[in-house]
Amino acid sequence: MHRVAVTGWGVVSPWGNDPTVFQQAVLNGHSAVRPLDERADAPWPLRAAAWIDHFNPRDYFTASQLSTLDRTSQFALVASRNALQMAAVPQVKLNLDQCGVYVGTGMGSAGTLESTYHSFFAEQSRRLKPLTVPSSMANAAAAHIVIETQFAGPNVTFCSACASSAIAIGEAARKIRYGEVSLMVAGGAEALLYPGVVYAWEALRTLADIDPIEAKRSCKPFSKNRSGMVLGEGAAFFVLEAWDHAQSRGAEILAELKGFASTSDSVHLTKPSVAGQARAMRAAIKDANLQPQEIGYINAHGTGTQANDSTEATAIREVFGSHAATLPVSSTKAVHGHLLGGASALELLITLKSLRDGRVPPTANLDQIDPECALDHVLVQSRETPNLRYAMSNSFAFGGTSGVLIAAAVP
Amino acid sequence: MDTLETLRGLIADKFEVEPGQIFPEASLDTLGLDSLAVFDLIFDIESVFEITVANDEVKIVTVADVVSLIDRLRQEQGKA
Repeated sequence: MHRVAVTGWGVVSPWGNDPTVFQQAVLNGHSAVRPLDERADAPWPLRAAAWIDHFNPRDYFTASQLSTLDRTSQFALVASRNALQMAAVPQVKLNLDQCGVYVGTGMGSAGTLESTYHSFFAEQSRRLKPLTVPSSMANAAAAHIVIETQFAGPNVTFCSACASSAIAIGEAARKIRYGEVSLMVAGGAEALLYPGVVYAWEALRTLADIDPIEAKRSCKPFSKNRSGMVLGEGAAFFVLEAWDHAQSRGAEILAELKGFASTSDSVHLTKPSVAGQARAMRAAIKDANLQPQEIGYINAHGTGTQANDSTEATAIREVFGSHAATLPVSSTKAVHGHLLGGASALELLITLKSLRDGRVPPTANLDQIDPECALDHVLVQSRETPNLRYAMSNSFAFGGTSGVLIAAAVP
Repeated sequence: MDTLETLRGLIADKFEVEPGQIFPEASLDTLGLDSLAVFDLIFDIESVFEITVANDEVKIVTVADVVSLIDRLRQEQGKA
């Protein structure tokens, strides 16, 4: 069994692609959430979202490349390039058969599909773009990353809604742990802010009301006045390596991926289950060979919906017992929105940086703690956690899939 | 419409190839167009030259092959 080292990370976020700037924004509770009617590019429902407007694809790709690159693939490629750069992978000779790519995405290439259907149904076109299929296939992002890196090991895309990238990262870590590969690029990406998709979410009655005073405060995880989730977009990717592989090439080890579990509620298509979530957290703690009281921070799934937040808080109390009273918990979705398949990866990045920096982010907009969500919430400001050694990142998906990751600080 | 000139502009713009490299004997492959890019190019050719290219016509290697295909199809399809 090999220990799993994290040696690089990359991000594409509403605050740009610098992980330090990204983390600072999250620590400061700066919200990227804005009302969609600021955008004149399409008919949008009266809801808020956290979108990225700094990202110019031509800064990263040629016009020719872009003909097969959906926005999700673009985000994934940029974040994975940055992770590899940080891990100094381009400078070393790898056994490429021992390197792979695991990607999580919820809706895949939503933008390409939506524009194709628009051509077909609205414009009545019967001549669709010839590269629609390869650019919209759900595994396109992973395919582009392996072509770019020449990695010749496993290349798999995980699609489990909001837990997709937790599963991708956790399974990649297992692949390393069992000695089947020595290095993996793993993460998640999502670009779903297209009117058809957003209206579909609207129809499910899950999106938050726009806060009447400050739109950026629309998502209120664990708060009594929470009214739903806010959609976001972006990507985060990691370089994971067998510990000895990282050490032998002199790579800086940033954190350790210590435990992972994936379980199924097997109850309902969308309604979360306390038993299912608790089972996932317990299994991850066992996988990490830890005791519950050793976990020092939880980055919660915390979507801001009525059902999710009370269920998750109850499950946390059930798993951690009296330790829950002094176990800092936050949901950062209040500021970066819900990236579905990209969410777990983005939140793992926040968790790993919190472990490194000894400081955990707050849940923004949590003004009225719902008694049903009683936990040791990190309120208003980030909290210094100098002795933080182990942290958990929760992801609980529609479809009942749970993905829980546990990471350890590296002394 | 000068077929070669129009095609040259199309390839240069879409695939960021130096126009000077796009001469009749140049193969599409050496210009950096793989099989998917050729499908993409044909899609634009159909729009610009107002022709329909059948699936069995897409075996083209050089720029000259594309020019003669366009000219022939324009003739056959009454667009010349």
